[in-house]
Amino acid sequence: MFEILPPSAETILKRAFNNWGIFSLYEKMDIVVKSPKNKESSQIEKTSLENLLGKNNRDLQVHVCSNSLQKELTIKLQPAHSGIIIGQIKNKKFLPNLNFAELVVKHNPFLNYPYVILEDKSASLVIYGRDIMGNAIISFFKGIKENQTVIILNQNKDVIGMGKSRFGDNLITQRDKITIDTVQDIGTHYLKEENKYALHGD
Amino acid sequence: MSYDIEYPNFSHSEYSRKLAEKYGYNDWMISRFLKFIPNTKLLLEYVEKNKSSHAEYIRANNLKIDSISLKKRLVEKGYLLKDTILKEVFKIDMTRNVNNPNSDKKTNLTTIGSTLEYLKGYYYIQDLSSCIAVDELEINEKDSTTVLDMAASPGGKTSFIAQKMNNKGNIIACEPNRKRIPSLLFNLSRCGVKNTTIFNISGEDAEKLGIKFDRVLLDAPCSCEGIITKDETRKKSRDLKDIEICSIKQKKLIQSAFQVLKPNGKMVYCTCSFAPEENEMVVDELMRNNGDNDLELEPVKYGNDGLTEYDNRQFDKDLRYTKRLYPHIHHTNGFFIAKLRKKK
Ligand SMILES: C[S@@+](CC[C@H](N)C(=O)[O-])C[C@H]1O[C@@H](n2cnc3c(N)ncnc32)[C@H](O)[C@@H]1O
Repeated sequence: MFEILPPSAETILKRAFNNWGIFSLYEKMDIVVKSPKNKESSQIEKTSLENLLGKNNRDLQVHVCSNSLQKELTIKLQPAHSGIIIGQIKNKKFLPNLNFAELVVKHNPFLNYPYVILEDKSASLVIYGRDIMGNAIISFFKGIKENQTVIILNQNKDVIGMGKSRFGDNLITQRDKITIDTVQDIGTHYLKEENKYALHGD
Repeated sequence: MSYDIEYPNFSHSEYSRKLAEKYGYNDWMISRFLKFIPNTKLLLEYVEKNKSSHAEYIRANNLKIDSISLKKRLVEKGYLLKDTILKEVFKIDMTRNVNNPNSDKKTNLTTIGSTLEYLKGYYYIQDLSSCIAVDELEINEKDSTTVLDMAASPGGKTSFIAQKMNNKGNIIACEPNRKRIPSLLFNLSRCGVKNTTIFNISGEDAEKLGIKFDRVLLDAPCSCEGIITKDETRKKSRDLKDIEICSIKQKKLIQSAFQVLKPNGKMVYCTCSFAPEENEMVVDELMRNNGDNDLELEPVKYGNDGLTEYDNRQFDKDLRYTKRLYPHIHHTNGFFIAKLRKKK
């Protein structure tokens, strides 16, 4: 079920936008949230999202609409989908996805967020889920901490994935060691869905 | 009447049987094609010649990258891109490498569906015919437009519409087949589309949403005859009954589409079928049911004129404004496009 952002989720999201250096964008966004499992959401229709977030701790998908009319329609008509998904709120934390990462890269041109840039060969493997060896990193955010979510870029600064750092600071470039686990990548999802239904290049 | 130098003095039925046999089609299909496809034999030859390397087009997704930058990146990787009548669309020649354009040797370029740029949603693999249909909707980014995409999955045209709208305004996309929704979602997400709301409903129920639209695209479910260059099974897999079933469904859908159009709103109806029953007859019936005061056909810019008669039936003369695209003439899928405006 689609609903407007409950206040507690709003706080979580604002903090995330701030941490990634794109706070000013947040105010301009028309956001709705959806409990991802339809069946569950119909059973719990009367429970407010506040409760979901608090006691039941269920996940919420965060959708960005294009404008307030779309947001209104979404809440009124309860479609199958609306807008673009930028991540989930789970256990009171925002888990950004690749669409969110693209927003960050586009709106924070000074690379003022946890990122790594990879050399080409490693980048082509990360696209399909390979973890990252320290020596593949040719540049990185100087304040990277251990166990932090990082945006993975290629040399063109295209977002190719998101990862979790195993080390902080310069240790991220240690040779012959996996220093970042790839958590999301642009290719694996595609392989799963690969033109399953695209019959005729419509 | 003689049909061909290869088979002089053959009757229609003999000639069609010969062609069907030679090219591996159902006889009834060829017999029909001969009545309305110009130079049918050339089409059949074209299909044979191009079945493993049919024309492939990509549409730059300007929501993520401008067309020139995309072209530059792909050319750097060795792909040979040619401009088309639409500025967003390029024809890709997979048999040639940019570094060696005159060689006929197969290149070892990765397929165009697995480049990084594809995964990033910088382009969509989409036939020129489909792009022309969307272009004919005449969407202007500056107006706050509300568009209905009545049969949306897997989202090729939806994402092009979103691009034309620069992710503003509102697109309502209908797709009744639940199994086809994930691919729609995936493509819209890959292309960075934000302004679309998807309903898992039949287009016939679009009225129940209580919204009136400035533009409606009905890319109707059809027999898909027009994609024989890409899917050879179409030579035999369908029968006349399929065309009839599609035609009945299309007539209902087009009426529903017309119903939800605002006065002065425009609708594009298209199919990837050659069959007049799925094309001109559907539009003609809409015109008969609604009358000259309610709607008018507008000329589609590119293609061969639509039929104004078929099988002893006369259609409204304005059906010449609709267009037919043929693989052997236009180097696209077989396609039909009609554009109309609601008057009041
Ligand atoms: C030609 S395909 C659409 C291709 C799509 N417009 C694109 O460009 O990617 C036709 C679609 O219509 C859907 N369909 C079938 N019956 C329908 C109905 N009654 N209302 C709306 N869509 C329907 C099919 O499931 C199919 O996804």
